[in-house]
Formats: sequence, C-alpha cells, structure tokens
Amino acid sequence: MTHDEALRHGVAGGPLPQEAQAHLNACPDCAAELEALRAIERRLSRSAPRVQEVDLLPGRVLARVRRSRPRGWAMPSAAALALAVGLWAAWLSRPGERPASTPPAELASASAVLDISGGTDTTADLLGAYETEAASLGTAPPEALKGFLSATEDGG
Amino acid sequence: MPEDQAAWLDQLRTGDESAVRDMVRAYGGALIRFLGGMTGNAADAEDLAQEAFLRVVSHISEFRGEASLKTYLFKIAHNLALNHLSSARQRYEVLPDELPDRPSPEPAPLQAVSDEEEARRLRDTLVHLPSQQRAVVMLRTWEDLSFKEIAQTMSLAEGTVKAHYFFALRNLRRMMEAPHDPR
Ligand SMILES: [Zn+2]
Repeated sequence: MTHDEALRHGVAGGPLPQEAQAHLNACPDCAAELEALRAIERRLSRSAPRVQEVDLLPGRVLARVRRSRPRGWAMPSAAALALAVGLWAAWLSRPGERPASTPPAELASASAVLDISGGTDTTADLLGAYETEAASLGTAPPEALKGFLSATEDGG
Repeated sequence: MPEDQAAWLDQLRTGDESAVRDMVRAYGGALIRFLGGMTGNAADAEDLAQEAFLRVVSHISEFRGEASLKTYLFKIAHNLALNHLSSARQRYEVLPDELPDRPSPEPAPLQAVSDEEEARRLRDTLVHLPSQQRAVVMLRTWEDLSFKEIAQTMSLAEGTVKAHYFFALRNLRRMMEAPHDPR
C-alpha cells in the first residue's frame, strides 16, 4: 500500500483496512501527516459560516412555486403569503454586490439535474486528473469569490 | 427535516404549501451556505437556492426516494452551481498575472489569532481549491453529509469522493502552512 493510499483510508473515517493500519504503524511520516490532516478537518468543521435570521426565502420560493404551477392548483391566500414572509434563517449580510453584467445562470437540463445515478469514474482516472489540478492550484480564484468568503462572517 | 420523510414527501406531492415552507426552513440556510462557497456570491447563492427548491417541488413526482431529500436538494444545488460556474468562468476568468497587485497581509502572530479569524483564514484558503475538492470539503465538514451521500450529490463514485477529500485536506494544510498569502 502506498503512502497516499494509507492516508486516504486514514481520513475517510470508519474502520481502517488492516493493510492501511499496518502502513500507518510502520511509517512515521504518514502517521504524522494523518494527525495533521485530522487537525485541519477539525478546524474546517468549526469554520462553517453561520446562517442568520433574516429572510424572505420561504416566501420567495413559494411565490415562484405558485407562478410555475399549472392551472388547476389552488391559489394561495393572502394569509398564506404573509405567513411565508416570516422569520427565517438565511445567508449572512449579503456581502458584495453581484457584478452588474452577471447573466442568469444557464440552467442544466432537467434530466441532468435529476439524474441521481452514481458515477462511474475510477480513482485511477481521478489521480491522473490531479496532476493537472495540482498544477492549477496556484491559480487565484476570481476576486468575487475571494471577497465572498472573507466577508461571510462580517454580519454574524 | 421531519422524522417521517415519506409523509413529508406526500405532502409535497399534493402541493401543500406548509410542506414547501418547512423544506425551505429546514434546508435553506445550509443550501445557501454551500452555494455561497461554490459561487462566491451571496446573491447568486440565494437565487440558485430558490431555483433548487423550485426544481424539487416541480419534479417531486419524479423523486424516487433512493436518496434522502436533503441529498437530493444538494445534488440539484451542486448541478446548478457547476452550471453557474462554467457560464461565469467564460466571462470572468482572471489569470493570475492579470490580478491587480495587492499588499501581502501582515502575518499575524499565531497565538493572537482568534477562532473567528482562523475560520476566516481557512475559508479564504478554501476558495483556492479546485471546485470539486471544495464541494467535497464543504459537504463533509460543514453539512455533515456522509461520503456515500456526497457521492450521490456529486454523481461520483464513493472512492473518488474520498480521494478528493484527502487531496483537499492535504492541499489546505500546505496552503495554510505556507508562510505567505496562499495565492
Ligand atoms: Zn507512509
């Protein structure tokens, strides 16, 4: 078993295959890296942006649901609509404005969106792909993306 | 989410608005958080979350219940995010050399870094991951989905998801330990 395979089992949780355990017992480098990766994992779990009371999302969704309904569905009452615009948790302060030229997202076809079948790619394919991805890691994301994640806790 | 998913789904299928409202309340925050991390923009995240809920409601009769409703919602949201990213990338992709020069942040003394600053730094680093690694990390550590659920969400094999997760953690560790701005 290679170092990376042993580590992959190590971070995946659940019982370790015997071979992976044997590798980790015998390889101090991997044992140390696994500890460090688990520490990152714990820090990530604590890094989730909080969601805050705000919003109008249930009301907005319901309004769109109603508009999209075929004829024959019950029309909502004003009271139902008022209720929908209730207290609710949504995103934090809304950092950053959407770029003025942002187009509406093109929507995937319904069949693609609704396809729930499992993937068929293999780990070997993936590992090959990572050589390419690793090369791209130095690529900075668009400014909007950086700003977004920096700003997420400003409101909460 | 209500304990009894089947009963809830029945309500959704009959067009019960309180069931729609419950679904949005139960998952809206998580969906917007995930979509925010994927798209980098809160307004886009909310628009896409609305769209995801709308699709679930309008296609609820096709939902066969192999996955939980939560997984199904994240799957739709993930697809919407990928679509959004690919259309946005064509317009906004900025090559590293074209980025404006920015002063490097002063390295903070480690002991003085608060939890919130540390969380922010980690999120800032997260955006440098390839989108698949980013999605896996958020779904696993923020939304507490199992690897199996993430595999369903992203239409990947479970082993692939675990590999993405491993590489994501390793990349994050390296970037967090780099002495300067990870960029
Ligand atoms: Zn090793």
